[in-house]
Amino acid sequence: MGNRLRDSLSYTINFFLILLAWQALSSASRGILPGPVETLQWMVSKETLSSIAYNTLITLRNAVLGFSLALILAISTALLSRLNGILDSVISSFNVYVQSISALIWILVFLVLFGFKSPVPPILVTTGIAYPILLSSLLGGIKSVDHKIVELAELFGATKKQLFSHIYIPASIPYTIAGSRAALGAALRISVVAEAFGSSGGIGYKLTYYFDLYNYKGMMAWALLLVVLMVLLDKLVLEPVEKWSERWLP
Amino acid sequence: MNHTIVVRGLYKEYNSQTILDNVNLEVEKGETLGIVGPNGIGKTTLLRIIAGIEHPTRGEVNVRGKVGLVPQDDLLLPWKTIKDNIILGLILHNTPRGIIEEKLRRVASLLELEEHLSKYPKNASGGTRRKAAISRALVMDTDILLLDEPYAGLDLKITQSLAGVLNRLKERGVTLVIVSHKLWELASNADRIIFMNGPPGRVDGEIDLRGLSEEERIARLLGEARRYTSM
Repeated sequence: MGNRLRDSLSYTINFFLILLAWQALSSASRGILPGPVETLQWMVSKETLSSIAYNTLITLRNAVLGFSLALILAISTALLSRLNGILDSVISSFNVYVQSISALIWILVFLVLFGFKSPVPPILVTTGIAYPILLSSLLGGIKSVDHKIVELAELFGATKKQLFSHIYIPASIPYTIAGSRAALGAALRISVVAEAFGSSGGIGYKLTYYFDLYNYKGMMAWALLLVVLMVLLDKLVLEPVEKWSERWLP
Repeated sequence: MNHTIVVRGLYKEYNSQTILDNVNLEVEKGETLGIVGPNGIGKTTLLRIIAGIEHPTRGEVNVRGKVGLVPQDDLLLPWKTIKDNIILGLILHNTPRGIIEEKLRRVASLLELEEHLSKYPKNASGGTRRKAAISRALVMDTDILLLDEPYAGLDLKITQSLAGVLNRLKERGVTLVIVSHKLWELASNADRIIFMNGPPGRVDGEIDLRGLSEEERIARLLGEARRYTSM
């Protein structure tokens, strides 16, 4: 059996296992938690395509903007770490602190700073969560560069700037992409939580909106949409990009 | 004498451990010098000091000419093609594109690399990678090429091909310093071979193969091989 076929089969089996588990939970709850069929029926009959598209795009926008900001910050910080040993040590320990800040703390701090109806908190919260993941990957990539390669480039007369552009940055690309897969996944999950706390749109907003109305079919429909969105994004975008970047590894 | 490399009273210490102990050697312009010795004796350190990557603790190293280093593990950048690896130094020097193409064409032809230029290192054979590492140094118009274990990990056919390449470089007047832990790897190239022993690494004998016929060369190497293996 080919790898691709086996992969597709595993995803299909797992999808149906999740549906079965969901149905079992629904039956056990005596119908309080709606099952997959009822949820899908509700989605088709009650939710408009434009509402699905609008709220999905808001969540994607929050995640992508937050992730992009985190990527820019992580690249800048990682490059700064190469300037000298003290900066390297300071940045590594700084990352331990940033990693220790939970998503809830980021959410509350940004809500206090920007208010409940601002579109900024979900974006910055995803930045706060994606940044340490990306920075760890980038630092790992940069540290993986064989010092003998750097010496050789210096023998050719490479400047500090050229070492960054020709050696350190390309060497860290596969690690950054691998980190991005984890970071973007985390960014999407956290963006939804931030939307639930204070936002006027997005999948997280819709989830809590229906929860507050005791409309559990609506809540589960949006939860299902989020899971499908994340799996599709991972399989169709992040995994192929990561595979492509592996050719850069030694 | 027209010496292009002169090493006098060279000492190298790491963490108060002596690696090289009073090494003296001279290399003439256009000469091929072989340096033989067991693993871990400081041969690579000696090459790195001559290349200017490392500094001696004591002693003097004078090099006249442009030095290129071919490290043992090739150190090709995996994200660049063979072509882009070869021209790395030229790119770093902001060499105009036309000159880069001309130099690349010349070196790729000399080392028979034309059909491998678009490959990535991990898709190329060990011999191609080694030739690419040599080309990367040569393309910088080097007069002196320092090769660290150039035949390591190569099969007999590729070893012969590479020996042919080094002989062609020698004919073009490039000074070669070849480090190896196997005496026979230097048989087809070296004009002179110095033996290193230790630790700490020191020069422990020398044979001059210049002006000898093929038979005399082999006889001389056989005699030295017996002495060398009994050391």
